[in-house]
Amino acid sequence: MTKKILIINRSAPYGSSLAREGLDYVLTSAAYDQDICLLFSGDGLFQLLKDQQPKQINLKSQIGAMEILPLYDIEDLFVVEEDLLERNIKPESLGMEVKTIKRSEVSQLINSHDKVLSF
Amino acid sequence: MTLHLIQRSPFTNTVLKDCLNIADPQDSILLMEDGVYGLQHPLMQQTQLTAYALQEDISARGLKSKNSIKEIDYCEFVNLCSQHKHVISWY
Repeated sequence: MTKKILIINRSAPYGSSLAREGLDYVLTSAAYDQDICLLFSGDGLFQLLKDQQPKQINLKSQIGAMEILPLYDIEDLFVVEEDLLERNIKPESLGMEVKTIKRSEVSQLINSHDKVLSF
Repeated sequence: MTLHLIQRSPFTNTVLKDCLNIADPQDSILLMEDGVYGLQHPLMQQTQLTAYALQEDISARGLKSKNSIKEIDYCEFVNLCSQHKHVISWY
């Protein structure tokens, strides 16, 4: 049965394995035909920066791995506007097509899904 | 309606602040594990959300509960989870 699942990405890449585990979860659920939506908030926004070069620290690129998302029909990527501003991240420095939402709209997004997980 | 499980101390971690930034006024918040140090934090005194804290974790750390925050045990914790549409862990 297809469920609408919202994944909240709150962790920066590389400092912990959470960001990677979140993406593994997303790709696995998408392979099982689940309807996946991603929300990036807080330090999770740093996962989306386009110029990541983690080879130098012997890790795989988070944004590089996310380029596969459209092939899994995952096109709903939301970012929290206030969190972008707080971290001085310009929309043009992001490596994926995203939609911005306000903090006040996040609870509505949560309520419109069957399952919510955060990484 | 969402139950937010705060599992980290708000003095060393931003999860409580991040959660309150996006929580709906209808949501509830439960302090557990090191999240119970939130009892000492001004953010918990200001919030209008219904707030709970796990009794076992409070007494384990030698903390005292506050009137505005209801102490609950593990059975009530299970009930709370089943009463909310979503449960989000903040760690």
